[in-house]
Amino acid sequence: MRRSAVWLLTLLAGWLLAGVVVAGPASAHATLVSTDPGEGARVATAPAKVTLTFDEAVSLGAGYARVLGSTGNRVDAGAAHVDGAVLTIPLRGDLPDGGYLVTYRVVSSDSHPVAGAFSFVIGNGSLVSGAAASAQSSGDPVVTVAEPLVRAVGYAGLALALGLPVLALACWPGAWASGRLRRLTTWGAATVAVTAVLDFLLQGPYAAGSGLGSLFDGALLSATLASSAGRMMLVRAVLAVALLAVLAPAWRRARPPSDLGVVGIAVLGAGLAASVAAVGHAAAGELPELAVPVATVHVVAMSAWLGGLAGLLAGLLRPSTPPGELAAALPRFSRLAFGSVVALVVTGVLQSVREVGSPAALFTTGYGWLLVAKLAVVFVILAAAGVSRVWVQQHLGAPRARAGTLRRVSAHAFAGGPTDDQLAPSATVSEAAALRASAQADSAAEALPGFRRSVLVELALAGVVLALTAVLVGSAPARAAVAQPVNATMALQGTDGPRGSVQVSIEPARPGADSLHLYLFDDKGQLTQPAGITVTLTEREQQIGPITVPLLPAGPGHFIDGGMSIPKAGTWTLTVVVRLDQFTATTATTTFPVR
Amino acid sequence: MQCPLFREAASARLDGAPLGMSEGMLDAHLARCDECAAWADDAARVTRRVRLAPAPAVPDLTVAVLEALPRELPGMAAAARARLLGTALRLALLAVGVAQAGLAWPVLASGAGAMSAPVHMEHETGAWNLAVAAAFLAVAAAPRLAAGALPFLGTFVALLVPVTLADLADGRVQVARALAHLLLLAGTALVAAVAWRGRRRRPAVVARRRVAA
Repeated sequence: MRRSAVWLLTLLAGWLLAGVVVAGPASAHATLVSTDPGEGARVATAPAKVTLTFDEAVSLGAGYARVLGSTGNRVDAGAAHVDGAVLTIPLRGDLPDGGYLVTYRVVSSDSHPVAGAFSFVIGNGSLVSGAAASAQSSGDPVVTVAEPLVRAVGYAGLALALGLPVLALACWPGAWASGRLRRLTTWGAATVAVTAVLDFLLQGPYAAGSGLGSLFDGALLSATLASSAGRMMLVRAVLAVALLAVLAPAWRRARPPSDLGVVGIAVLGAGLAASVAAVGHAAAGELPELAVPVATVHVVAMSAWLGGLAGLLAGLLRPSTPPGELAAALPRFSRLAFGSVVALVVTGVLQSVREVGSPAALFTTGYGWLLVAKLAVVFVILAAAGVSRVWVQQHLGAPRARAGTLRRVSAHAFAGGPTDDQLAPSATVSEAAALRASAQADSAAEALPGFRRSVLVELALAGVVLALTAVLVGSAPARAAVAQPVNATMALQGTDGPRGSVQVSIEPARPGADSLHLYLFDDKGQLTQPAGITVTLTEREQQIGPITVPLLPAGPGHFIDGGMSIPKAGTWTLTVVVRLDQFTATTATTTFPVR
Repeated sequence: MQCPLFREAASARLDGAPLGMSEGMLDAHLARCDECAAWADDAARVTRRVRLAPAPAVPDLTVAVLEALPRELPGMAAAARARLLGTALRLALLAVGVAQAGLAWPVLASGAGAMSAPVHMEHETGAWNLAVAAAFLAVAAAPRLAAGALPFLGTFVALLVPVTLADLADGRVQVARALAHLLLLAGTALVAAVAWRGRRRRPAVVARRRVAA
């Protein structure tokens, strides 16, 4: 207990320190921050280029960036390029007045495509409709389904390829002689290799939004190869084959591998897990150097638990297994599985917090709901795991406390105590103990069907969890999708300097109905009642407004909106004008994004 | 001083108990007073006899007990279930603690939370929330700490809940931020449950009185 507490403290301290030292900006999926010309903007003269700024580095890869005229003809010069987080699309010269549509599909650093479109107007033209824009961004349906499917099958293969060797090494040495487990492990590793290659092939069409026809398109393949995600997929395939090769001698000799073999399995297994973890959300966003190890531990713990369960069901929980072997292996696996669950809980919560950000986002975004569904299934699995654990402790005894955790009892001893060899059990006692153990093992073997059932439930639901995870890994994290409510405190500026302040909160800061709260403070920070107050909203780029927000008094110095509505997305400016008396008026403004 | 006091001290020395005076005083008196010296010798002899009395032979019943045990011990399942409940509580507390820490540290690290409060206020809130997370994790690691953490956590929650509700009604806090307090509520409830399970079942009468030896 003391050792685990020290570990916890060390981990927490290290994690905190790293967090404070290398704090970075939030959000994993790249999101569009600003564009020039602005979304829906009307410009007087034709610009030479269009620039899009994202919140993190993106790559064009297999994606595209085009500017289309009102008739659908391309008007960009065709040499779009990315510099860090800025995408630049040069335009042809002498563009006529009219509406133009910018469509893009870039790949963010978590290997997921980010697609979108916006329009702007030169001179007196009319805006291109948004419907034309949205038609551009959806991917091919077959690729959209195949992508998570391949990933889910790959996870299952990984659980077998990693979990079965761990089961054999840590819990059940007899497993090396089991033909079933050997075949399962081989199948698992082969599945990992095949799905990794499929993932690699699918990444191109997935990023480009094209169909299965372009699976072997040379340009797409080279774009995937140039990305770190694509290279990781190939590394995964190679590692899976290497793991198979290292395991082969042990299976052949039907004996546990040598120490060198164990080290090889551990290194290759960890590498395999890391290559899975390094593709996706962990590799993007803030602190990837912490997030990738966390995701790796998650993958390893998942494999040890689920692969071990599959191994139990396929090899150990059979009538032909000698009861003694069963009684030796099950308590060990129970401990291993419990350790895995603890690791899964810690790393899972850390990743959820990183990708979801706030509890509200759990219930307002698709990612959040998927995560809630996964958690619900995980709870049922844990309940089944609890039933299994009770079975093991009921039939095979509770885990004994480690020697170090026992309380020291002081006792007076005046005569010399019995020496060690006197304490050693006599032959008859050890014989009786062995008899007792085998009786216990026999009784456990007889009660095996109940245990098989709960393990089966765990394993079946684990399949559901893997499928949900595969979809989760492919969808935009809630943190990127959820709108940030506005909360700002601004100084009120009068003609003779600042006069008090105003606190404004707008929720949820999305197009449509929003709620506004406004508190007015005087110089001393006390709530104060003005002679008059008006709030207006303006979108400069799109030349909307000023729109007056109707206000209702809600208390001294506190106003709420009487039906505020933000017409559309954009960068809005909120202006508060406060009349303190007949002659003095003060103003404050703040700008906020609406998405 | 009188002889009975010194005799008491001599007896205490044999028992390894506090003398109530310095060793030197006792030895000085024993050297001076023959009666007390004789008494102390007698006492030492009696003590020695009592301590060296042979223990009665106990038959080794290990084999008999092992053979008489039923194949499955009664109450094992119930004990395992009780242990499982404790484990589940600690796992849940671990999850809540990690989540709380995960939500708190960006605020501490960057000083930029959802509310545009002054940076130091954000730092302070971050440190505070992280301390609460540490309390949850500590109780998850060592459940016996639960009762000790409860006064602090209980007070925090009892104060935070009504002010949060009032702030929600006035629009001073966003729903998202208020929802994050549910984590705190859940964690405190779990700590209370752990403390309740670890409470002493019977009043410890023995511990209160010194056993006279």
